[in-house]
Amino acid sequence: MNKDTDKFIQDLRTISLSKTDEQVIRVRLESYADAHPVSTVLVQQKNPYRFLSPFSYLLKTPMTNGFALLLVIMFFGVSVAGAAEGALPGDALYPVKIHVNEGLKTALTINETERSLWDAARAERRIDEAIKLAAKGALTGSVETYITDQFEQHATAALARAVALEQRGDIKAAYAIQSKLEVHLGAYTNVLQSLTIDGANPQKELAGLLIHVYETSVFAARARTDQEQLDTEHQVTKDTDTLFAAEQAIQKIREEIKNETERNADGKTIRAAKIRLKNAESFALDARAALDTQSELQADDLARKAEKSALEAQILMKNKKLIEANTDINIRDILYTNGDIPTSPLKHILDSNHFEIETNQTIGL
Amino acid sequence: MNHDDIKKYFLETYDTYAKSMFRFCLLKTTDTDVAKDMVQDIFVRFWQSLAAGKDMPQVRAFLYTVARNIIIDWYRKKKSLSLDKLEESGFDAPSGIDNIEQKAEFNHTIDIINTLDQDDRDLLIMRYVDELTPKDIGEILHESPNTISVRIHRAMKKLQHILHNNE
Repeated sequence: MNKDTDKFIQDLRTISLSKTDEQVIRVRLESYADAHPVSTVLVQQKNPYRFLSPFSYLLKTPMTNGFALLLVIMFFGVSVAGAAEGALPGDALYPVKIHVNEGLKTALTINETERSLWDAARAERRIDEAIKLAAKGALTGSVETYITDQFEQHATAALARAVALEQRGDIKAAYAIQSKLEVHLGAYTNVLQSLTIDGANPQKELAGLLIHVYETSVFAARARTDQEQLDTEHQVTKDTDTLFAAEQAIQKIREEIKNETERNADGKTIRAAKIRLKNAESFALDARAALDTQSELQADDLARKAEKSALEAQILMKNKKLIEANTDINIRDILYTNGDIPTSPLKHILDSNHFEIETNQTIGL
Repeated sequence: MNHDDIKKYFLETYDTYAKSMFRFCLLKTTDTDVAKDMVQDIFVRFWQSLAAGKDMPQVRAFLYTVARNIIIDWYRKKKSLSLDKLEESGFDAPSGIDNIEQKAEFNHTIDIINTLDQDDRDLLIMRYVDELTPKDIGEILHESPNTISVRIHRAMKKLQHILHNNE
């Protein structure tokens, strides 16, 4: 630690509770302890499964977890596991989706990189569930809290594994995971932002999740940028993996939109998806041009933007039916003509100054 | 242990950790009154856990975990007072800091720590101000001591960079 930081740390240590305040709180706590004697204190244990389903009681401990898995497979077979894939919190099959389908895949994914990517995918699955529930008007407070907590758990696990990989010297894998989280969660941030802010009746119950998704995406971006700065041997930028992923995402959404258009399907979702596809194509072209001029880092950055736009379109199309059915939802169309994307969505929320999540309480950082 | 024994242990723990809990909350919220309320909430929850007979071998880790949860809840529920607005209105220095120079120094310290992101801030406060070991911090943040060491190293680099640019 150098002299500056040493002094700074010393300054921080001087911040302290005054003797008077310390004593006042102590007296209050002593009164509280006397008013709640040991024998009568009842600590309410939160039951995370309370809103899940009638199967839930089977899944309260790891021991019964295995038993439940066996029971479900014995009685209902593989088709139940398939049917459970579309289940949402509150559905009878949701515990099967979480503990059987996802639990099994988690147990079988041993490779650290694969496991980290699977953690990231699980985080995205929770966001998908929240979007579906919100579009149905069924995202209650307790479910939102549950989904947000689960999202955070999976996303944090993915990032922690990336750090572990980096420590072991697998910089490329760590970079790929961080980049993927940044791009995917960035795309979800933009979609959640549209759903949360726009429209006649914004889906304000998604706001808490939006903040967590956004913050995780920013964290991943920062971790990735740190990696770039530490990467003196240019292990992570000399190939074109990012652009390849972007072009694949573009191809996928292009075909999906083409099929829908051939069926004469129209609506706000397709219109919004087309705009995002256009943005993605434009970013991808710029990325290719940057690559041709040996600007690897710039190409990488543009490719990430291309993939993010394409993924936004995919997320919208994935939720097309629900979005079309809900007349309150309005998806904004932003054509990124300046070659860049808007900054923090939270700034927009704060600037909009109207967005309440609870009575008289608004979102802030 | 009977009620009186548990209460004695509870108050001793409060005497040991009240200051560090306050500092942790204040540096995260920049509001003295909120930080004081949070200290009270942290120890109320600590009492509830003690009284419920929960086993807590790592008291310090438990207190920091509760503090982090309370701070997260506060962020999610608080009114839309952005950091910018707080900065404009000036921070409320803790009691005991009376003269203008001390207040200016306090505000400057808060300004610098707030330029770091939340995770880096937590890590540096826990490691260097409250002197927790990477193992202790790892238990609070559910990460391995090695991962924590790497993150602390990075956070320190960022802080040094900020301090260097501030000169």
